[in-house]
Amino acid sequence: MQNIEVKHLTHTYSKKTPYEKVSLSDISVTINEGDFLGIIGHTGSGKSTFIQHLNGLIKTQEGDIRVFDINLTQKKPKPDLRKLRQEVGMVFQYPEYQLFADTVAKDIAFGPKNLKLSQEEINDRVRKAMQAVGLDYDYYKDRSPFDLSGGQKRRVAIAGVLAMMPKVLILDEPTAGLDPIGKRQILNLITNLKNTITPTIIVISHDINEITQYCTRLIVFNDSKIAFDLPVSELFTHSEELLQIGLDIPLAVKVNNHLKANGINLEGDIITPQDLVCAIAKYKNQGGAL
Amino acid sequence: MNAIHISGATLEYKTQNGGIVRALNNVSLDVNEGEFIALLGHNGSGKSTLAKILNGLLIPRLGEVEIFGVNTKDISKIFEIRSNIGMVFQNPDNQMIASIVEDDIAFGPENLGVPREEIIERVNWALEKVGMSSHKKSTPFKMSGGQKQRIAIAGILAIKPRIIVFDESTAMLDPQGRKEVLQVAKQLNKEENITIIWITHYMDESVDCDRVAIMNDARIIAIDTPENIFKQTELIKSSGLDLPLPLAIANDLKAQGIQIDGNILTEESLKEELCKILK
Repeated sequence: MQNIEVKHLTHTYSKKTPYEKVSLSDISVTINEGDFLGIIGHTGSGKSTFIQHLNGLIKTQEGDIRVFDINLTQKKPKPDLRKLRQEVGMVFQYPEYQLFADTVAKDIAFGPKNLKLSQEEINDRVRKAMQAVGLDYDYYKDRSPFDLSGGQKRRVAIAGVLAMMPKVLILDEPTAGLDPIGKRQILNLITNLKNTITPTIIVISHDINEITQYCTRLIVFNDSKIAFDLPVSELFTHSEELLQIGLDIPLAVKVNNHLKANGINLEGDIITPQDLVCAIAKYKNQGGAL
Repeated sequence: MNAIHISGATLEYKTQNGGIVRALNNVSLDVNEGEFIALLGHNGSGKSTLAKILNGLLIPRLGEVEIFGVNTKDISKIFEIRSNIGMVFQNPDNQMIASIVEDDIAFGPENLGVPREEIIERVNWALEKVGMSSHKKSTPFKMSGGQKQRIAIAGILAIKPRIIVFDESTAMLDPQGRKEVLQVAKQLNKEENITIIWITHYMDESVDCDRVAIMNDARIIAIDTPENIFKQTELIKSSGLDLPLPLAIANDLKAQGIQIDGNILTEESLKEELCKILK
């Protein structure tokens, strides 16, 4: 099922001024239910501008966007942005900077409260959201979010978005600035959410080794255009082009390419460190080249 | 004389609800001039507090901190200390004050009362050192993160410090920006003999520095060459850290019964070794 359909989207910042800058040019993408989509690209390549369109934070200048049954480019009646933002949850970069309430529970309840739900429903949603991000409800609900560690704060912020019960979750660099443990927890959390609550997840990341661990489809932005939109297993057959536009490729792919150039051909798709280790073990057991 | 001499530094913070958290617990560290030290540790292990006692932003309750022999407790010498030791933080936006690059870089030496002619010289020199000479008259606000961070470094350089502390200065940058900034730090270390303290969560940034220090629970629990540090898998894991990815792959291969040589910390050494054993 199609969740999001974007056709010929073009966006220019500071239009008709000397600072005019094209940020997106002629972008067309379909995002389906169940997609685990990664978006990569340089700073300034248009990634953030693109995702901000998906929940109506930026008005469409040219092109069409449809999210579920909401047509964002329709003039009359105006698109229901309130509904849109419930369906598409957005976790910004460093979301913990948005925490503001004096207790964890109040902070998470802020969204549902604005939906004018009953107190019972609000409490229920807060409890479920905290459970989803792995924070014990009774232990954390009355604590100040500001006394928590960086990784915990970030989980509270994500819980605030989950409490809106979005069908699509977008995360902009969810692990930036965290230490290794914090990173691992957030990655496990995202994978869990994908399998349980939010079927469709879009992640922006700069860490190619990380994003290839869990995403199944990757879109590469370059210079305000989509350079590639491929399953992870196919993207790195374009390693040369990716390196040319200055993007990193996974370590396992680099090593595999190097081995290939030296006449060592490992079997299968090799993207992650685990893939590499398995393929080498297999190669060794078969006694090298057959 | 050491560039940095810390002995028995202990420091506590008060928390909002009246509790006390020990941020440094009997920390001792000696750093020679011209060394490049990476400081690793999970969030809250005390790294940033350690950085802050170096230039007298914080004074430890117990113990001594000396920068080129000058004790940070000596308030009358605080300017001398701070002109010897520069800090580059996580977010370059927080460190910029002027709207034109050269003005921003001149800010430090202006405040030290450096004569105008020399300020101009220092600004040009600092910009050259970070590879941003062509941006002298631009505004920093429209630059990429890596470029902004290099401007912030130039601003520090203009004060002519002998030590620079980078407190997670690459955390907010994309891979390209990270590379640029790390490279600038390495060059300053080599060409200008500036002592570098490099705080990071990216293990791969620490693999070719002189020594790696690991902090955990307010203490420095290990300090040694990268090879010797990352050999201690248990220590790394129990400190909440990771192995550099090439080494993690090498270890996984060993677990599969594949003979692979010890010191694999970089992509290059992994490639070489694999070619050798698979040919």
